Amino acid sequence: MAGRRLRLAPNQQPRPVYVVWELTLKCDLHCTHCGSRAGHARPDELGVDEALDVVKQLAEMGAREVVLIGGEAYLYDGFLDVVRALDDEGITAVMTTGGRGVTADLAQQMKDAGLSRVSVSIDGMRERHDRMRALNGSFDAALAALRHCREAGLIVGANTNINRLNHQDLEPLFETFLEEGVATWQVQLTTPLGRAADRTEMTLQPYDLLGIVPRLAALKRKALERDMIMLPGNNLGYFGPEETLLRSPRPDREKDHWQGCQAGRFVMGIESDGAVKGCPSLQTRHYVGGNLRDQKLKPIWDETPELRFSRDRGLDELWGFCATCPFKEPCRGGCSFTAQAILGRRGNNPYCHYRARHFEKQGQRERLIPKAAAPGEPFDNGTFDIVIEALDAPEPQPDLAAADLVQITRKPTNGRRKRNRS
Amino acid sequence: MGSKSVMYFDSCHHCQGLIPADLSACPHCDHAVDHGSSSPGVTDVAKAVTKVAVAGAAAMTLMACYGGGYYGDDDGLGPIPEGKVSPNVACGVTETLAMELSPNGENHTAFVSGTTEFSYDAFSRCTGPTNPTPERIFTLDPGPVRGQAGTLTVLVEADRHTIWTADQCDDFTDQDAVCAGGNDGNRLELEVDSLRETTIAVESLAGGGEFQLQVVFEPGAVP
Repeated sequence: MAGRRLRLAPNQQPRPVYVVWELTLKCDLHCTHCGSRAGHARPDELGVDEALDVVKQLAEMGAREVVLIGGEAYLYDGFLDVVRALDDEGITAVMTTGGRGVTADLAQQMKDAGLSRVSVSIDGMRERHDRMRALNGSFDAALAALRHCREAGLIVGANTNINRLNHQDLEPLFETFLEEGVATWQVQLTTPLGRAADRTEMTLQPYDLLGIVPRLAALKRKALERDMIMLPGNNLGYFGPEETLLRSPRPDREKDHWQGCQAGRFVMGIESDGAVKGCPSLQTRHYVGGNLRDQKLKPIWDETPELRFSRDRGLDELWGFCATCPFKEPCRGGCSFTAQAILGRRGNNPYCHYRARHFEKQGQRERLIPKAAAPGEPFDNGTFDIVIEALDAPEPQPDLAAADLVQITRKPTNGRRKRNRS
Repeated sequence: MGSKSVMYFDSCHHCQGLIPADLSACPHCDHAVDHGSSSPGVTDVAKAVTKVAVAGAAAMTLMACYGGGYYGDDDGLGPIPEGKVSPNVACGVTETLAMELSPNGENHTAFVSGTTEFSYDAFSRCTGPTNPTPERIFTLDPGPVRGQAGTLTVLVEADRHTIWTADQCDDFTDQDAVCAGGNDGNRLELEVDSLRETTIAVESLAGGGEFQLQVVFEPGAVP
């Protein structure tokens, strides 16, 4: 049974092997960087019967692993029914969660229903995590969720967004995860998407990768020694000297590297109202190919340009630095939603380690300056301008203390959120 | 994978970075490289590159920023479902591959050719010689070299196949299965203390089609 790790063969037909499915946008957290701006359920979310039909369609299309997300997936009425249905179809069921509501009872119910793994989002040590999650106590709740799931027999993982607020915590986080029995750790950049687009101070500058990627590589070496699988998400790369180390689950056995955006090739995202995208993080406004209430999954996957873009595009889509890059053939401009979130279209992505090193060699760096604000919808983005400046130019935005960057508030606002600039 | 071409990188031993084939210097550390095989007169630095095949013989781990961390499945074929992979369980067909003394008398070999059909799943359907199936599973009969120590080489000469071996006919597990995959033929070399019946699977996951399976056993002390 093939899983998420694919051998590359020329005749492999695109299929949604790895699916991330937002069951509901309802959430018990209100995270400051949430790309989907989760909190309240979408107005017209799929019912349980509809969701179970989606499971059947996913099985027919060759899905091998489905990650249930939200909001919080466990707040969806039919959450356990969906887990059981996935397991019955032989599809590995996984949940990514903030962990606030994961009790020992729920962990056992999830295990009994057939859930395979749980990945808890933990972005920093207590102070910084609580600031990012906008809730005091959320760090402790996340650790408790890890323990409940592990004790229930679930494989536990963690996923961490890296940004200017929390990158100082990477090393202690690693040690904490080891202590907590975390088997797999996914690290990725906070992209200015959704609420993170409202807090551009939070996101890294491209030249921050010069320091962060080698630190992650050092942690990866330690992870290998401690039998933890540590992998970068799709928006963290690309093609620096540490590329194969970072990208390979077992670099002693196989040397992987970034193979380009797999959205709509082997990866797919579903929003809770049935909207289908090539990747869960892609911008809703630009990348929804169809809705499962209107169409079956297969024609959406096979025929819509929003799902096909990464299958049909050529190198001519690349522009700016990426069009000139020696790694342009396999890379294709890195992560699609990230490029779109920065410059408003794919094909040129300043969040690139090779690119940052290229400019560093010339005594330069690229800095992003906010240009247009995000409209305030789930999975939306603003845009940025890129300026090239001296590598040793004064730092316009030094790392900020957690309390300075994000104010914790428990009062949700309706509609567009106000910018929270310190 | 559409029309995406197979690419190969060199890997710089100075900085471990990948080097595209059309560059004469490492783009990361600027050291000169020689993409050909090392030869007399080539500098140490130029020799210090290693071919890294990508795309064609490579694998990738599917990720998504809202996804869960990746775990296991790192053999490239995913977790093998218990109970589904025995040739007996699969459809009751077991093909025997008998070792014979090679014509030159230097070792023992076995050979078979066949066809598989492409499938996305490993060990998902029936095996057997009658029709193209996703897998062909053979039980290697050591014959006269049973119990001997030596090196067992399993080679599939074909495009887009994966081979597996396991000691036990009735149980492939993640622990005792050995896998090799790729597009341009696959080779497994196993050192054995005492050769016994060995299950060998030719798996179509990487593509399927015609294949030629050759097994060679060279007796000798195992270090």
